[in-house]
Amino acid sequence: MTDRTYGVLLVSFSRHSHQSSFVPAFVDHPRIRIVGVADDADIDPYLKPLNRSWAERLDVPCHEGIEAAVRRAEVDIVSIGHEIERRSEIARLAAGAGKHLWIDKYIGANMPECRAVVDAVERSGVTTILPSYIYNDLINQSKRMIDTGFLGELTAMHVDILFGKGIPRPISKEQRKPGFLPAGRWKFPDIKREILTVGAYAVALVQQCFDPIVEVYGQGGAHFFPEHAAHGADDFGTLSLVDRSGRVATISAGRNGIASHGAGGPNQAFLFGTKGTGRVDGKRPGIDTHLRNRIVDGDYSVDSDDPMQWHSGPPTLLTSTGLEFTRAALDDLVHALDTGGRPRFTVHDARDHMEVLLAGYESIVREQPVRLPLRGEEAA
Amino acid sequence: MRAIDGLVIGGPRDFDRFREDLEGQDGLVFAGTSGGSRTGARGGADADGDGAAVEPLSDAIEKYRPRNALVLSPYRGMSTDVARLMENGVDVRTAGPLPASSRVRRPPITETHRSDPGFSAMLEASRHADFGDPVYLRLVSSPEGGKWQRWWCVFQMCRKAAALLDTPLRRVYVAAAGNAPRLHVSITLKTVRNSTGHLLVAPSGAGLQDDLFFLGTGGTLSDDPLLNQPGMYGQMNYHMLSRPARRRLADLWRDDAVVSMTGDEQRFYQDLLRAIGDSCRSGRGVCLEYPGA
Repeated sequence: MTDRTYGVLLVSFSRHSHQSSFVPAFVDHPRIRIVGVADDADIDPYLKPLNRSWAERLDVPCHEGIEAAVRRAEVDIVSIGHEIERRSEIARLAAGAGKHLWIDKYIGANMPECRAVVDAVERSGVTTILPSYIYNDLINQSKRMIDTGFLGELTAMHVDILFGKGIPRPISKEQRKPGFLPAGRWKFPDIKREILTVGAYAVALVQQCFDPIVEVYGQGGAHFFPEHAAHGADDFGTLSLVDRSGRVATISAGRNGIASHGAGGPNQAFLFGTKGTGRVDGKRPGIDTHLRNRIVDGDYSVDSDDPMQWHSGPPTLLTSTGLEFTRAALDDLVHALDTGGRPRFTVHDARDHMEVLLAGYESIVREQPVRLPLRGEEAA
Repeated sequence: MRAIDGLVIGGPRDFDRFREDLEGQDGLVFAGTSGGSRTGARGGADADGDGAAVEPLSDAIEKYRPRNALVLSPYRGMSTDVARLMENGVDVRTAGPLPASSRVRRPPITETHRSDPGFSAMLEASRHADFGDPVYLRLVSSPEGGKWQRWWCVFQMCRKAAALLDTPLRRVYVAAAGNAPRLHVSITLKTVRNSTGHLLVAPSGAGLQDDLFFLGTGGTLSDDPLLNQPGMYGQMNYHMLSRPARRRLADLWRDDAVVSMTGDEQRFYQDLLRAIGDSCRSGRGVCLEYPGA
C-alpha cells in the first residue's frame, strides 16, 4: 500500500458542470492534492473570472491552455468539468498524456466522441472514473436489496428522479416551439436538457442492476418551464428500457419546480422481483425536519443569476444522513490507482450509458422504440 | 334457499377490499374465484347474520338466485357463468373485458376505482387550481393471479389514469417480462395533451395496491401504501396491517361507474392483452395507438 499523493488538475468550472461540488472532496481527501485550474483561452466571458477566482481560493495556478497544463509533471489526474461538447477532446488529450481521468457525467456529446474516448483510454491504459452516478444511496441500497435474494429474480424496475428546482410558470401556445428538439444540441444559456441531466442518474441505476439495454422508448413534450417549451427541449421525460434478458425498466425524470416535494424531489426506485417488490428512497436515511421558522420564513425565491437552480439546492424538509457520494467515488479511484484495479463506473460504462440516453431522444423524435446499438445517424 | 340480492365474485384480495361493506349486508354473498371457501374468514353476512366465510363459487351460482352479479376478478369458466347468469335475467357487471374468444353478450364493465375514497380525494386534489396541469402519473399494483388478472388490472389502471389525467389516452407502449403468474407488465402511456404515465403491474407484492405518484405543474400528489398502513414490529419481522379500505360495492353500480367503450376501444384492450403476451415472448415492447386519438 503506497501513501503517495495524487495531483489533480481542475479543467474548467463551467456552470454546466459539477466541478465546484467536487472541490470539497478533493480538498479533504488525504491522498489528493489540487495542483491547478486550467481552461481554454477562448471561453464564455463569465467563465474566465470564475476559473481565476477558484484558483485564487484554492491557492493554485490558473493555466490558460489546457494541453500544456495537462502535460505538467505534477498532474496525475485530470478532473474534467468542461462543457459536454469539449469533454471528449480533453479526455483524449489527457489520456494520451498518460493522465488518469475524473470526468463529470458525460464523456462526449455523441457516440463517435464517446467511442473515441474509450479507444484512447484503452490505448493509454489510464484509470478512469465518472463519479456522479453510482456512489449514492439509491444505488447502494438498491444493490443491497437485490443481493439479499428476498426479491427473487429481478424482473423489472421503476425509478422516479426529479429535481424540485426552478419556478415553473404557465406556458402559452405561442411560447411553445412545435416538435421535439433532437439530441445533439445540449448547451443553452438558460436550460439543460433534463432527460440527459436528471434521467442520466436513473439510467445509471438500471445499468448497474440489468444486463445491457437493447431497446429504449422515450416520451417528452409536456413542460413545466416556458424556457424549455420555447426550445422544444425536455424539462421532463420518461424512458422505458428493455435489457438483453427481457427485463423492463421505466423511468420518470426531470426538473419540476421548487417546493413540489418535501425532500426536494423524489429519488426512488421500485425493484420488482419474482418473490417480492422492493422500494428504495434514495433521500433516506434522513431526519424529517419540520422547523417552524424555516417553513414560515422559508425563502422559496430563486436567484435571478441561477433561475434553474443549477448551483443551489431547494429548501427541504428532510435532512439527509446518507453518505457523501463524491468522497466514496474518490476513495474508489484512489484504491484503483493504488492497486491497478478498476473503478465501479468507467468510460466504458459511460459510453453505454450515453447510448441509452441518445436512444431515448431518438425514440421521442421518432415516436417509436429504438433498438441498440445505435447505428449511423442515430449515434451522431 | 336464502334470498339474496347480489352475488359478488372475486379473489381473496377483492374480499378483503370490500370486507367492511359486506359485513351486515344480508342480501349479499361473496363467492371466491380461487377454489375452496375461506372458512373462518369473517366478512359478508352468513345465515346467522354475523359474518360469513367466502362461498365457493361452484355452489354459489346454483344455490342463490341473485338479481345482480358483480365479477371483480376473472377466472376460468367466467364466460360460461356470465352467459348463464345473463340468460337468467341477472344484471351482470364485470371489472374488465371478456376475452375476444368469448361469444357471450358482453355485460357492462364497471370502474373499480369509483368505490375507492382515496381515488375521490386524489381526483379532487388534482382538479384544484394549485395542482396546475397534470404532467405525469405513476401507478403500481400487484394483483393476485395470472395474465388475465393482470390484464384486468391494466384495464382498470388505464381507466383510472385517463380520469386523473383528465384526458383520453393517445398511445401506449407495452413491455412485459417474466412468466405468468410472476409477470411484470409496464404500460408507458401518452395522452392527447402530451401528459404521460407509467402503469406498472408488479409480479409480486402482497398489499401493493395503487402506489401512486402524480405530478402536476403546481406540485406533486402521492399515495404511498407503506406510509398509509399501520406497522407492527414483531419479534423477528415488521408487519403491515392492511388499512381499512372503506370501499362500497354500491358505488360500482352507479351509472357513472359504467364504462362506455366504442368497438375500437374494446378491440384496443384485446390488442393490449395480446401485446402483453407478445412482449413477454419477444423481449420487445409493443406500441398501440388508442382509438380516436
